[in-house]
Amino acid sequence: MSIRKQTLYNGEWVDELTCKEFVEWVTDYLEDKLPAEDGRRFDAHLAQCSGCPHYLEQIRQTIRIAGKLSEASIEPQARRELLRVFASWKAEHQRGDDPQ
Amino acid sequence: MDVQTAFPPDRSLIDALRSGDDDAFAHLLDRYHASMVRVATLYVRDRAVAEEVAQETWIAVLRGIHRFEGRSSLKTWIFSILANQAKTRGRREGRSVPFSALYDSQESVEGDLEPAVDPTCFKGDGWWRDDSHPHEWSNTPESQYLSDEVRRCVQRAIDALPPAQRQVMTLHDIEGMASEEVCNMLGISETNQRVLLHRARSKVRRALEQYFDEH
Repeated sequence: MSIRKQTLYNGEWVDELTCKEFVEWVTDYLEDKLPAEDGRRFDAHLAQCSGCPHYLEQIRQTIRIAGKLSEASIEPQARRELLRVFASWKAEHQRGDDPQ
Repeated sequence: MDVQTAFPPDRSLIDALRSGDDDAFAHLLDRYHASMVRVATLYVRDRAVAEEVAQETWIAVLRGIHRFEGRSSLKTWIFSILANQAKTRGRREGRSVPFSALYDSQESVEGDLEPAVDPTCFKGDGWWRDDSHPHEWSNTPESQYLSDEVRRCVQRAIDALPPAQRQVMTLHDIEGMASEEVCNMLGISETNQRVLLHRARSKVRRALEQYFDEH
């Protein structure tokens, strides 16, 4: 094991993180699962690297675009059919077999 | 996720549904049906069958609504019924791999074999090489990122993921489910879930990078 370089971040010395490690920590970082010390190393790297902030932003954009895929809506035909199902369910219950 | 607060609380929806309120049912259909179809495709791999599974789920929801005790949220309850129906259907059709098999497989454990970024992008010291340095994808406004073409690119990349990664990314990032819900639904640990999510997002990012490089 080689000795890790240290880097000064917010007045504290932390072990330097490489870009190769950074990209593997991104999900834990975004999901807020990095231990405090690792979080500082991550932030320190983010402050001193010119590529990784873009990488992090790209991952955020990826998540944002994926989130937009949920905006699809129900097909009108399925909606009509299901509302009919609801109407007949209601009719059944109003005939007196409502468990309430 | 962000609009959740605009919806009526479960309690009043459940009461309205029990009393036969059409608007309450229509509201639930508009809110969840499309998501249910998408989630069902994770198990049956065929959109038409997924649509049927979602419709059968609504029937089961109506049959069970008077017995529903509200120990989980209405959404969680509906989706757990959906998952059960979809799994049963998938098994019957012999189309889906048993779930536990997916998560016991190599796919979920051997982390180092699947780096987030091609290792040749880094120099010997682990920092970016000049020619693979990440850069801003585009100077165009936000709307550009959300064009139909970009969405299709992301959808294709997600469709191409190994099953367990596809399931986790669909539930977590598309459907906006909390990690805990995803773990419960898939029966996996939170760590395992995060590993799968990490690989999935990394691959989809690569697909987008390629797309933006070409456009």
